[in-house]
Amino acid sequence: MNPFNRASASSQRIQLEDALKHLLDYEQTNRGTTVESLAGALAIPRPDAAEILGRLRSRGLAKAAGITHHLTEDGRIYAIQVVRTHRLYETWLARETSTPAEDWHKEAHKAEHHIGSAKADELANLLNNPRFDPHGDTIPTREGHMPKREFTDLASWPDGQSARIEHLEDEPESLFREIQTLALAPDTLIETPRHLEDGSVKALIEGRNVLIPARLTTLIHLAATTEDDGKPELRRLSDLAIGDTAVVHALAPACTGNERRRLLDLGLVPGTRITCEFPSPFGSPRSYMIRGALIALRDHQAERILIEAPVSQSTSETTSAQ
Amino acid sequence: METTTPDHVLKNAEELRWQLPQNLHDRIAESIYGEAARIAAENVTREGQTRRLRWQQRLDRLLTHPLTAFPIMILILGAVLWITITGANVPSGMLANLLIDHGHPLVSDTLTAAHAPEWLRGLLADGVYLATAWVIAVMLPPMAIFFPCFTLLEDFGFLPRVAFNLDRIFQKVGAHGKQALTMTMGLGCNAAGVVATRIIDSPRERLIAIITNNFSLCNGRWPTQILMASIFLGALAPKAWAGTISALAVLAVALLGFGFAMLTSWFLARTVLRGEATSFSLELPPYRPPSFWKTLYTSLIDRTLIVLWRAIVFAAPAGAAIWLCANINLGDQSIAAWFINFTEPLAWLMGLTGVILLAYVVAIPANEIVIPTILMLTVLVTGAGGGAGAGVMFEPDSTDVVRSILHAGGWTTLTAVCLMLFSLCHNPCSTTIYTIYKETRSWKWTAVSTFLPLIIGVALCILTAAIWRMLA
Repeated sequence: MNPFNRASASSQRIQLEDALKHLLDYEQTNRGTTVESLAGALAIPRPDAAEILGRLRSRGLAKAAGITHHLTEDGRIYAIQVVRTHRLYETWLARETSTPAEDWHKEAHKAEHHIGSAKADELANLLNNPRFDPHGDTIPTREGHMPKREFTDLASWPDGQSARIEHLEDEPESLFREIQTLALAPDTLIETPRHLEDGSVKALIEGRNVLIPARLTTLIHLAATTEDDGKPELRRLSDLAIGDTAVVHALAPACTGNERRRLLDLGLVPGTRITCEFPSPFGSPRSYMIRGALIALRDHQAERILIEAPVSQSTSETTSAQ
Repeated sequence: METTTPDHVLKNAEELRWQLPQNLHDRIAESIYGEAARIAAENVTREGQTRRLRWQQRLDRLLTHPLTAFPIMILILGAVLWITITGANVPSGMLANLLIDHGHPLVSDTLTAAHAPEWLRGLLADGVYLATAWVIAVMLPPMAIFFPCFTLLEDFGFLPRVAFNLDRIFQKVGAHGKQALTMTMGLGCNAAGVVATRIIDSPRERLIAIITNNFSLCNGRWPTQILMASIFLGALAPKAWAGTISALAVLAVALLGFGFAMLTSWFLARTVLRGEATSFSLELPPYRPPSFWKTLYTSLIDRTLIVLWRAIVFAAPAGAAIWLCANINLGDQSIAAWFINFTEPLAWLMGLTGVILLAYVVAIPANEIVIPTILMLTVLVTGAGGGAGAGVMFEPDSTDVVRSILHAGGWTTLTAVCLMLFSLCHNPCSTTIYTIYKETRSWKWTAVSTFLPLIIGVALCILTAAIWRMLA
């Protein structure tokens, strides 16, 4: 967990801050931190964990109650500040840089210990005070407010009931990468999920039948859909046949930041008619007629554009999407 | 919620804030865009055709069809090269005749008549003037043909289709699709190509495009490629095929450059510049007949003359440096001879000569002067070329003379092949290096862009020479 030299003062601070985050995490899930749990979370020997807890106590950041440890008020404020920095930094990485999603956590984990609270506030201003990080975790406010939320994971979600992704677990890294390749993001709709015998889940996601492997189902946290989720039958632009026309319904939630802005700037807004013209020799990118201009888009982007069949109009248009 | 003190309102808002959908901002922005589009659609009337014309559709199908796209692209690039190679010969000879056969004695005699000391006459007439004259004679004709051809293709709408066709390769190596455009720009001038990478928003992908731009053979290097190909490779074929073989050889080097650019991009995108491919959109403008004379005029003014001027500015001091190198003696040898003898072992390993390595050191300011420098230095070392003074070139008005000089310098086909490879893979010229620094503001990335191609070039030449000697 800690690649830095243990002897240095900054690495001591990093360990303290990581320990505080662990205490906060357990507090939120109503568990008491023990020497064992901390040693496990930070991947350090138990004597080291015990020493860290001792240091937290002596600095008034934690207090002991029997064998468990709890945050003091000061400790909680400190811990929330570290979490806030971490999540703001992740949000910034996701929206403004092209850092791969599986690196967000790692990078933020490094940055959270170096960015002061003033810098974190600057970051929050830059990002318009975001409420959620790219995994759907709540970002504590400036005042340290952070509501507890309760989720149900996909593994225990009832069959047939459509849901909206509320939160994605970003560890372990390799599994989070798989979630990313499925283009799942907070707010993505999962329609008519069905559990298969091997624990995997089959569901309709943005117009495609997607098989979510069993190993991912506990990492995907859901909430029931609200009423405004009633939608016409959606497909993805990348599935539009060559020569066919469709109407843009929306951009997928997984499409964020600069990428989203660029697509909107191109005129890919709800209601825009779009025709697939011809593919490149390798199949991707394909060219689309958008508002009188011929634009080439890679399949990877076209997947993030949700389309519906055009309402038939009294024009000379003969092709229809369906 | 009975009481409505400010504190209660704030607290209430704080709690409600979390109940809004996560992507509220995105949704609002999207609906504003959608609404704007709807209002525009109701109130703006459009005139003219919105469907694409039939012939445009047909042409697009032909230029992007899996079977025809790549042959056509290579054919057109090859044709441009062939036109440049064959078309540049005659005007080049004429310019050389004018500027060197007649111009050089004139300058030299004028200086003598003005009672200039011998060292000043040598420095100005044999150094500065000859180098400059050579650059103009060698460079102006190919540039005056190559740049307009390229601008015509750009205006017609062909280049965006090239980027469209090649994009999948860029996707695979983790580079930005618009890198295809900056690379074609680099075929004209790498400094211009580096500046053109501004069209790539993502800093990571932009750096990849900057570092690999040097693998696009720039205009200053085309003459080297063309000269080597026509003297050494074209000569291997029957006379009727010489031009075609030379053009194919140059095309092969250019394609190899593309291959290296892709390989390097792939390597960078998987190691030091890891990251997500960002979204890219490429507009494919409708085909339109280019306005021929306007294109010819603007490409002459905007590109040819600017690049030529830059070359002249760098060639004049380089000419002086060459003359000084050749005429200042340290001990019993000139500086040039010291350097050439010292680097000869490395040069031999790379299949080159010490003269070529010295020429590449002197020619850091501009690739254009590599060949003139090589010729001057060869004359200096071998004394070929009619007993002229040290560091002086006479009568280089035809490729035959160049050939005889180079043969006198001990050149073989291997030397030519290795020079072509080294010309493709070596450090960028000083203008490009400076431009890279200005664009990246980082000495680290400037150093990477400078030394990465150089290291690849040295390795490539050593490998080629070793295999060649093993087979020969």
